[in-house]
Amino acid sequence: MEDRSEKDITGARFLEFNIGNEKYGVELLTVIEVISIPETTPLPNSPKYIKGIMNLRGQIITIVDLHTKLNIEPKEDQSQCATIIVKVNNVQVGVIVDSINKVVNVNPNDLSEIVTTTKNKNSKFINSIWKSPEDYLVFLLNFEKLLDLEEVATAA
Amino acid sequence: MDEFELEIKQEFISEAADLLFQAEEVFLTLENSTPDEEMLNLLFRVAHNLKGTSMAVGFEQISELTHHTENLILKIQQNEIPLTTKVIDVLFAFKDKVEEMLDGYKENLEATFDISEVVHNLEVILGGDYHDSMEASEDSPSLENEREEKYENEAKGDAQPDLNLDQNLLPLSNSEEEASGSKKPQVKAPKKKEDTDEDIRVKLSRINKVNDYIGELVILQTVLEQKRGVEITDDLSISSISQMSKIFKELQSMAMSLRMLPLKSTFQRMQRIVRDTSKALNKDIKLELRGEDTEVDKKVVEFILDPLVHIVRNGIDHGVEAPHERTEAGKPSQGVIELFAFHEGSNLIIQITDDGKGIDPNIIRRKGIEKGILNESSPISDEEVIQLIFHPGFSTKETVSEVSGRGVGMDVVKTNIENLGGKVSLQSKVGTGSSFRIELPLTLAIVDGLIIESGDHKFALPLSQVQEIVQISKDNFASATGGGLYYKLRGNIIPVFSLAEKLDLKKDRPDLKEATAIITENKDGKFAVLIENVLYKQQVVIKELGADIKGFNGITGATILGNGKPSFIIDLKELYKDFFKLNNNTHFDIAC
Repeated sequence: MEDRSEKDITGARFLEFNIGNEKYGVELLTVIEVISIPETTPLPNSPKYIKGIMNLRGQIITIVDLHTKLNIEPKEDQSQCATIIVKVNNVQVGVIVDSINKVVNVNPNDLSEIVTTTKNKNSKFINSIWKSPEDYLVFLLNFEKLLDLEEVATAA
Repeated sequence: MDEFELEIKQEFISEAADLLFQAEEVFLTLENSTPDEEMLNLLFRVAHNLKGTSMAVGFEQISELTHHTENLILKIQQNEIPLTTKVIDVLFAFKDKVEEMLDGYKENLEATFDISEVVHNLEVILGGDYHDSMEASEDSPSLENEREEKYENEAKGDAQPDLNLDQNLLPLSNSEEEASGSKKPQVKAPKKKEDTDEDIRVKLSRINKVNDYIGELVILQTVLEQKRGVEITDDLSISSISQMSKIFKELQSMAMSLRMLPLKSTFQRMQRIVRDTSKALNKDIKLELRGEDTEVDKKVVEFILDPLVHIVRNGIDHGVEAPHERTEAGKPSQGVIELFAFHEGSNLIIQITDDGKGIDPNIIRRKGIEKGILNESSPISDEEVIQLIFHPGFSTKETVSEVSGRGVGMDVVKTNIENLGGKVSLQSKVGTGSSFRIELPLTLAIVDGLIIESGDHKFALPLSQVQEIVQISKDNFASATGGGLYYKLRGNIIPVFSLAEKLDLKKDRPDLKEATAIITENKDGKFAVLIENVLYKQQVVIKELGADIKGFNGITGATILGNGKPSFIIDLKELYKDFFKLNNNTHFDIAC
């Protein structure tokens, strides 16, 4: 799980989305659905990036705000905000992002590695950088690490 | 191991458990009556089946063990070996062993086990030595030990991993065809009754999903219901909505019932406990079962086993007297323990009654004073005194014997039952016997909840934890800077905590002169929790939370309120666990 070899990612499809002015991607296979911003019940004493829990057709789902988690200023215009419901480690979690772009096919040859330094705090959440055919860059997130909520319990 | 192998192995494990259950039922009947041919035939079919399927799916050890047992049953059928107690004991030991192995396989499909002792015992009997030996009484303790060991092994979860994977895998891949081939007769053999409902196995997760969706439908339904006659005015819609709500109610109770199981298999296991324990103690005890068809949530069924075993063993050990004592006391020499299950409102009641010597409140009172749990002067009734046996710190070495306790006392029984939202109490009469009464909710999926407000949040508290709701005022309340808040509850001083503060929420009220508080109790004693408001009482459907936030801050689950918004269920006991310590034992309120 440390870093994904190119083989793993061959032909994989990603969902591309925006947080602030940055572009990120999540493997499409982990995505269950995309919904609008739900009403949430906050979890007392929890880290700020946990927005709370929501009722998704009878199921209780934890909602994480990726702005806070990744420390990115949210966009002023919130009208396009969406929640991506993903299944990670067998738990469904919702993440709030600024807007959804599209589904992209990722060619492994267009991937490069992220630089890890102590200053790049979020680099541990990023698997690799993808250069799109249109020449912009997308950071492919490692949701397993990003949503490792075990640290929530210990953070408390 | 590929998926197919995995699947057939897992399927085998659950089927084998059913077969064993049938076998045990027959063993128990055989013990008390003359064997009839049909019973032995059934037993033979079960054994044969078990042997065949276990071989087919690659559990050769089970197959080997069953092979010997099958031979034994065959000889019994042919009247070559009589059904002596010793023979039945070995049959029971066989069943225990296979059960242990199945549990082991559940953890690790490659596990191996030591089956030599059981095989040896089977061989001895097959070799002709089946008479009840003179040392019959020495025989049973050894059985008992083995069983104890088994429990301990289970506790450690020590299925030994087998490193020789190939050894297990090779024959398996050869026998895949056999596996599917030998399955057909298996489905038919154990089922005798043909006119009953058919059964299918369904994954619990699916049933839970159905429940989730129905719960959601019911919430949508209430939204429509509120609009009925207000915004929705045409006749057709109005009548459709009211019909829909009826159907939803039916559907909801139907969906709930899918999780319900009869207590039969649990009670059945008690037969076994009574048989073995009373034998080990040289007592003659009959177990009578009533209401074993009473249905209860699957989870409750699983949880209830341990407390029941404990109480039943305790009754055999300390309750029912030895045969000669009973005769002297003018009672029939055979003691009776009765298990009685029934529904009462939305609760399941299980009564465990013995006709033994009962508990002398005076002895308990004396012990209570010795241990400092009671004050000499405290004026409490005999009935209350008896409940002291559930008090932690009351079970002492003296009351723990080999049979009824492995170092755990009745307080553990009480805690376990309370964790399920239930209650347990004891009534006893010297010379006549004792009766435990366990009260449990029928389902763990729904609890009676108290919806409260604190710091702008709504929470659900399990009603079973709420002892009282009190208004705090300056007359009954005191605080010391840096020393905490205290409330006077009928002469007892109990600590007061603020929920908003504990959960870091917006403070409820700037001054605490007047507030609402919930009185509850944990192992450290009673305490009061300040909240903003009690809103209403509601049956809440408990939704599991992801492992991510479960247990965080005493949150045990969530529920969806009438307005469709989720709300957390807070376990006050858990939230304030280890939060405070009182000096000495003034917390036992009858002592004050």
